[in-house]
Amino acid sequence: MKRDPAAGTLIPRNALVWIIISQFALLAPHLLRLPLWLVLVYLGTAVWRLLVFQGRASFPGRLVRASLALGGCVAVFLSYGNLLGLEPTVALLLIAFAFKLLELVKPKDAYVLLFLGYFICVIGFLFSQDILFVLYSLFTLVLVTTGLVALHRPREDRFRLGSLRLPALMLAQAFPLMLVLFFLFPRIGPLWTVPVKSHAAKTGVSDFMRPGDISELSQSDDVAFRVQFDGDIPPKSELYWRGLVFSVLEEGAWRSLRYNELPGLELRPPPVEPEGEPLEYTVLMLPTQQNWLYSLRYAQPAQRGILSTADYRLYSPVEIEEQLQYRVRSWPLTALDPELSDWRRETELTLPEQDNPATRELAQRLRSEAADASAYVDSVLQHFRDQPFVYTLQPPLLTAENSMDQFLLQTRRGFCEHYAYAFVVMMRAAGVPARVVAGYQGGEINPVNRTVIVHQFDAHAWAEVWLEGRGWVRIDPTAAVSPDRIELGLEEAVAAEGSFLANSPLSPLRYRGVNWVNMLRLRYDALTYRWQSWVTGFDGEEQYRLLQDLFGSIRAPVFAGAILLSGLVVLIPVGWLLLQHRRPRPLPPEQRLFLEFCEQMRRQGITRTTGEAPGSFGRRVAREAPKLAGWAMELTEAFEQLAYGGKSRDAAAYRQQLAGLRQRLRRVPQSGSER
Amino acid sequence: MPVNAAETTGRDAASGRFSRQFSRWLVRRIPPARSITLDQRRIFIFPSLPGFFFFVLLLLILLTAINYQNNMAYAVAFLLATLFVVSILHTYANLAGLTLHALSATPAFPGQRSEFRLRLQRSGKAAHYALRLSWPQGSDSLVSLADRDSCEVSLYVPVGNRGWHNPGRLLLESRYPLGLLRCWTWLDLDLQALVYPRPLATAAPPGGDGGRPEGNAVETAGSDDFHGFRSYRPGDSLRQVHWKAVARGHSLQSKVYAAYASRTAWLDWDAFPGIATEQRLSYLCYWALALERRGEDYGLSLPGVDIAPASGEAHQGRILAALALYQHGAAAS
Amino acid sequence: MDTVGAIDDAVAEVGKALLGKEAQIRLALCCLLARGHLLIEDLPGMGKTTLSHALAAVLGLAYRRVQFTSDLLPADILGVSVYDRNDASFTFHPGPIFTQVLLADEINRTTPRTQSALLEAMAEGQVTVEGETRRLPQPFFVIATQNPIHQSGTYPLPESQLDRFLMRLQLGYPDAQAERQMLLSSGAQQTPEAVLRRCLSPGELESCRAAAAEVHVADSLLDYLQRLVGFSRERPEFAVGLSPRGALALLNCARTWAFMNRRQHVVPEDLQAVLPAVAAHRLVPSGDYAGDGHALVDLLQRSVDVIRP
Repeated sequence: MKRDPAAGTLIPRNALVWIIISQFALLAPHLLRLPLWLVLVYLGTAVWRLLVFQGRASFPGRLVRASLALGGCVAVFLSYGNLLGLEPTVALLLIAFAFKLLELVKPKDAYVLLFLGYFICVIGFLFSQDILFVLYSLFTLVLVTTGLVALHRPREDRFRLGSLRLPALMLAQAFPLMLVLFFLFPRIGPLWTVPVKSHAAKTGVSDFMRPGDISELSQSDDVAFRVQFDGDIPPKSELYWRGLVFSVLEEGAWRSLRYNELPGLELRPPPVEPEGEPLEYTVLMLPTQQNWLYSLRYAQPAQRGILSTADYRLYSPVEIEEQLQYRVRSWPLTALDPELSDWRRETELTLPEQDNPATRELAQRLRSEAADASAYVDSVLQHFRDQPFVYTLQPPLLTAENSMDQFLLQTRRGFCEHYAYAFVVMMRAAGVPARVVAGYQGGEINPVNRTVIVHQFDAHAWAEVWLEGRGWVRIDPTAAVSPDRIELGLEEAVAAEGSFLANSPLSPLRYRGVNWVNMLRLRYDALTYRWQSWVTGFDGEEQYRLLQDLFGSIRAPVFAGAILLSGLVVLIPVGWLLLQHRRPRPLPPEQRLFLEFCEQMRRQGITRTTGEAPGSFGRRVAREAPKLAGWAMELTEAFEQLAYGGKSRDAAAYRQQLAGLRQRLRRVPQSGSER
Repeated sequence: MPVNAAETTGRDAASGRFSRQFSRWLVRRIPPARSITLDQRRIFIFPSLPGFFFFVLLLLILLTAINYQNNMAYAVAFLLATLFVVSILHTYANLAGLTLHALSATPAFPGQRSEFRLRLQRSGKAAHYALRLSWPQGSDSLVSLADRDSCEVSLYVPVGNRGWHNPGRLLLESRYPLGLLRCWTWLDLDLQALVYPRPLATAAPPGGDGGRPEGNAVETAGSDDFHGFRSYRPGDSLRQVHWKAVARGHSLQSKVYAAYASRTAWLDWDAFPGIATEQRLSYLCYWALALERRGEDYGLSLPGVDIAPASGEAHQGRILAALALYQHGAAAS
Repeated sequence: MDTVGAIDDAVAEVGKALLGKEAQIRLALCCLLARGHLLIEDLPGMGKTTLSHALAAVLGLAYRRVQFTSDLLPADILGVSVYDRNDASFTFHPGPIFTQVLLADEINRTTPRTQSALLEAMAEGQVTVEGETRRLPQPFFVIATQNPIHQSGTYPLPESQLDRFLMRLQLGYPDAQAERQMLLSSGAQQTPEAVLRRCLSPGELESCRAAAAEVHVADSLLDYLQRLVGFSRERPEFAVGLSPRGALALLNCARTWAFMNRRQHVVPEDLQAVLPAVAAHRLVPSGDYAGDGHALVDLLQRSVDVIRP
């Protein structure tokens, strides 16, 4: 390699400022994830570097740098407890990024720093691919590129905002081709396992429910998933998004059956006959780090890679670490498990021994009063309605032992999971197979794009009861206590209490009453849906479909051809734009011919000097090479007429004259050479 | 014989043949000219070292994208890849349309550095940045044409032996805007510096009768510089009379002017019989410098070359050029 | 006879009075045909007066000569109003400037005040005396002469004023043959200019001008002109480059020159022929450049190629 032209030179001040700006811009989105000391390290290094620039401090020595690096690693280890997770890795990268600033002496260091900057920009996407964040990251890309460009403009010693122009332009020129590559580049699966986010782990409903769990979840205004129905959206009260089925009550908590607890015959869902018209919809789920998917009841996946469980839920064999989009078909009218197997019946009737005696007693009393199981269900619901039960987001804590006795007879304040819990216990105690179902209920319909937005606070638990001839029937005891929760949603249900999103005062969802805020939020949500379904959710599946739509069949030559062609389509105009102000205008043809004549004469030993007019040159040739005189004079005159003459400038005559000149030029008198 | 610096840059023998072939190819592709406009035939482009590291970075980002199945990481990888492609055009455009004019090369003594002056001119109004010009072994210069249409560049190249010094091909390169690509060209601007003989002090004076000036001593008369007064002698010009003094009642006095007749010396080839050519030229060169410093007139007599005595910078230049080109055939161009 | 023939005639006719100076005579005529004022700069006795007188004679124009001295006042040139006792009013006595060809001899010997009065009249074609504007006769040419050696008591024309002269000419010594002929004919009592024939009528003069304005200028020639002008503005050797007025003057003279050479279009040689006379006095060398205006013109002509490189 040749020497770098900028090597040995210092970094222009303009570039230094842009590098520091881009560093802070890259740091900003990680601020909340990082320990405070790391931010202080950044400030410290920036100040130090600026002092160096002003000559009031010097670059740190080798020993200082080494101890800083070691100190950084130790500090990260102390803050995170390990060095291998994603967050500590990011922290280490950011520390290296900060300390590199102290080594920023030569352009070589600036390259390292800026390339690291590009990488840190990418790391940000592992935490969020939100559209606003992506736009911000695009801006940081412009900033880093600006640093790179400013580095190559020597002697720019004052900060110039105008430096942004060229990088922005170049990235804009690169953008169309990036889109082509984005949609055409083959998507392959992960090559090896990588460190995942540690503390931002599992979200949403967990496979383990204790009273109070769901009310905790309901404090969050995060979006759980969005649903786009192909047809009309069913009424909200019908939107029970089943995610988990809890069949086992252990130590005061509900859990679902484990895979190894299922006997061989019970692994697959018992076949059922779909009834009625199916609902078709697409669910775009945000990462949960869990396996289960949400759907309306009796759902069948409309795509590969999704399984159905024995309790008619959808299940992903891999944990959902990135957002997932799946298509589902549901027949809500279908009866589930019309015939209940013995094993299943037994499982769904099991209660822990000697627990909640008062509840059992109540159940048996009510059952004996009821004619059949169905009537018994009604009387239990009636009990909830009649007694002073309160639906609240802030239920009192229950003891681990006999918690339902405590709830039903003493506190009578609870959230959905309390009611579902109590209801199922009462059912089982009376010999009616029942289970708790957890998931989400309702959702917000976005009028902008007709999607149903399901938030975490829509998390819900209800019950399913097996009735002879009807299969599993959904019973929501919460509806008996607070019909508003089902009809209108959580916000209205707890309006009197004022506890809705009490911990997030700035959530835009709290301002649904303010019209423009709400509209803005919904529009942004619609945009996010589109963004997530088209861009961040674009995967191999989608790509396959898109390419098949575009090209019919997918063959390598078509693929390469498409990339190449779109490359040319983008690059040719860019090149033309760039060069049109740099190319010297082409010489008019007659001038080129005259220069050819001059070249011929030069070979004869008569060189036209700079500034020698054609006429003077022609006469000189005539003088110095008398044998060429007639030819040279004729040629010169013809040229002068063409180049400077005013008449006959119409195209045909001009071409004819030009051809004449060209012919004359070819007919050099052979004996002409005198030298 | 022109000394081609490019060929004597001490490359090892193995690459010597290749570099000779490369030079021949270059001569065909970019023939020597006093002014050259850069177009696609003359511009070469290749990723620079940071450019290769950039590829590594792209690979890292792509691996991140694949392993995390992260579409935005894919997007950044592709955006940076196409940015690289776009920057090929930008880097190329930064050299395209530039015209280099050879202006002049100052003569120098062996071991000194000659100043080569060039003019760099742009064709359009688009800015060109960070253009680095250098000759092999010479100094380099980093210029930008941002708000001016042309600029002059001086490069200093150490010269070799007496005669014409050809500095070889000029390297013009740039990595603007991103530094990921190096765009360069090798130009032969047909510019040569005159190298004078190395001056060697010699006690032996030039010319048969020594360095003693042939001219006359101080000669009074003429009317060049005022020298003083003396009492009027019949025959003195009336113009020389100091009339103001007469008007004040003094006796007649004449103003005396003095002119120093220049002394003339001949730098004669034959004054150093039996001494090798180069050494003789070195002696003559030394005396040409010495006499010019003393302000004396001197002429040169070489076999086939005679320069009449005179003094002054131009005259000295002529004499030194004659010494430099003695037996080198070509006249000053 | 066509008008160009008449011009050739006029050149020949002036040539009788000023021997061996055909090139300068053609340039001088070119200057007058292009409606410009002429500055002749040369040592005394080189034929400045003869040239101007002969030019006026062959063009058949009224001619006056004013010898500029240090005590000359503006009124001496422009004229003065004198109180007339008979009609008890002021009457204007026009000065020598009210003529068609004015020879301003040794213009650099008069004060800047008087110089500027003349130059103003040259620029505007009218004089304002005592608040009253009077038009000068048409056509109106000033042929000024100046001694290039700046002796004490002279006021060299400032560079800004030099621009008002379309051309500056130097006559120089005649060649040996012409001088011999002049010496031989000096016995004749008649001054040669007294017998010169008038060759161009005012109408023909006007039609020459109109015809010259018709001469075609091609784009490639304008390119060349602009490169010349640009070069003079860019290069460090030039303290002052060619102004837009200078560029226009060049083009007009080149047109007239082409017309005088019976061409319907301007070729680069026309431009080069008039370049020294038109440009040399408008160019100012920068401090560290050894040459004068002529050296600059030479540099210009040698450095800027006719064909775009």
